[in-house]
Amino acid sequence: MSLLIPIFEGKISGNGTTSSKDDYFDLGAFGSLSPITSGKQLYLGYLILISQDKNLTFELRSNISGQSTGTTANTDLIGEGACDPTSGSVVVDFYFNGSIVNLAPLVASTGVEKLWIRTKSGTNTAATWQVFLYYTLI
Amino acid sequence: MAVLFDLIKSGPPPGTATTAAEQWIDLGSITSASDFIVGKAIYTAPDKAITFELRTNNLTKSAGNTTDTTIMYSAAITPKSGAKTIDMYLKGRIRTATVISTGVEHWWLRLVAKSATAGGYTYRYYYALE
Repeated sequence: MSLLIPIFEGKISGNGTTSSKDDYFDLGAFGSLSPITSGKQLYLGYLILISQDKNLTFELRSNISGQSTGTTANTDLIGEGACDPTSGSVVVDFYFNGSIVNLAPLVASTGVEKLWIRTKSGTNTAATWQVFLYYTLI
Repeated sequence: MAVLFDLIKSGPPPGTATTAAEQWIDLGSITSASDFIVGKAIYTAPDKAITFELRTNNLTKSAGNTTDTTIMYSAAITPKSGAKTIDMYLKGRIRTATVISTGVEHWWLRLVAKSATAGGYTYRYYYALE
């Protein structure tokens, strides 16, 4: 018998390299959620951010209903955090002991919407990034 | 007093440094027919920024490489951040566990840094056999 049945049973581990000031990455593709399962939403728990090379702002976004591309016009901002090489990893809490709720997408997926990580920085210097997202599909 | 995470794995020996941009540390074999569930980790990296990736071998594999392992948790530690306690349990809201071992799988710590400059590091895991 398992010692632990977690609330947030899904985990996406994503990583990549950004070489521009503004990049979109299909985060769901790292976890077989590209697109997000039709009729479902991700109930979000925690997001872990790592950037060892330069200061990065991370935005977690999901497509607005009926859209599937990674652009500001076609996505909603769900949450964000900033990470720099000297401070180490950052944990973004989407749950706060159950006192808040964050869902992605904002309405249940129609079968085309995706989950995105948008990275923003002040320079075009190449930098690797890594994120972990804990969620439950509802 | 009973505790959930009753086992400890720590290292390396005092004075040990990583001298590569990537290094794999074998934390040992996973007990056959069981898995390890990890509660907390404490990391230090006083000399340079290091990303600590805790990994488990995939089923039937035993080598330390990215192909044969799956990442369980990742944390970035820097000289500025000091010792960092990483909560891999979060009051039961998340689960950080190895595969259920067939008898050959190990768990691994992968250290990743921007340079091969020598850098000290320590790790300490609180975990349980499940």
